[in-house]
Amino acid sequence: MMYVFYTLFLFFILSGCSSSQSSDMVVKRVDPYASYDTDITFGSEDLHQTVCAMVASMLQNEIFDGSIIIDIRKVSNKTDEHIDTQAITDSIKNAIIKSKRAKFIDSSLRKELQEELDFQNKSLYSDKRGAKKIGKQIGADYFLVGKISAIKQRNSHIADYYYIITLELVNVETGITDWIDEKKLKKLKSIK
Amino acid sequence: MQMRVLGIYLLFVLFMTIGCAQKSATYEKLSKVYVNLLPTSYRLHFTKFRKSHINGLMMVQVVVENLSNHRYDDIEYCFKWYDRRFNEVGEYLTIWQPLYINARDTKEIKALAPLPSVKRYKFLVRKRGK
Repeated sequence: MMYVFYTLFLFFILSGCSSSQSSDMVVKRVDPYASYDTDITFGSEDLHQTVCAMVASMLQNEIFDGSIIIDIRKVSNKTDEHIDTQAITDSIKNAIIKSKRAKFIDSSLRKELQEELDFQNKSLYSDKRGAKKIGKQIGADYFLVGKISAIKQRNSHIADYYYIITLELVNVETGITDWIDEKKLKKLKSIK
Repeated sequence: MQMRVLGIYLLFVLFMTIGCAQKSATYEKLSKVYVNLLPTSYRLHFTKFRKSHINGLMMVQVVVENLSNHRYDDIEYCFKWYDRRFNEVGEYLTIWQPLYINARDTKEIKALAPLPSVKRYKFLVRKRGK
């Protein structure tokens, strides 16, 4: 009786192992810039399209002459989804820096930069000959701010998701918005 | 003497031929700005590949005309950018964009090069999901 039990137990364990290994799920590497829609929610494809549209719009504007300094501030996510807004702004920052049409500062690093400068210039443990000078940090000309909103509608047949991503550059000196653009994305999903 | 001259001449012709072959191959490959990967049944006509400059960056405009009697919403396109030495640049902004076009309609596609070093481009079009 025990042998039967052990045999059955082993059979289930082995069949479990074998099914997990010969699963239908296949992993493959793909082009990160190619288009693959896997879901109706905001995904990597939407992120790429937003970044491309925003960067193209920015670079066409004459204020992007290579001298302006931008500080990326808050991009609010007004949707009910988790959207990594920093991934959007990081990609935009990456593209704009490579284009050499603007420079960026990161105000969230100010405290750490101050501590490092204090260490280099004031600490007993640091060599003052190689210390970076205090008082050379530059302030931003523009704040990059924005928001992501979504309108979602659904009936028994179809789900309709509409995203609006708005970004703007606010002049720190005047408070005037010198550049603004929006990217609209509409996605439909049929419900079976 | 004559044989030596003939030999030098033949060598010269051989080197010239090799040189030309390499150059024309490179030129042919990269000068082709338009790559159509659509099925032959797709009746689209791409014209007016216009190049201009905005804010020191290359701007390309392409006009697409739908010659068929039905709407296409399964097409995508992308621009690839190249510098003076034919190196591909700005890959981080090379993305396949959807193209929706109604029956018998005409549409203009615009793209801005991501870098000032861009001197050449290539326009690719294909069926979505391919």
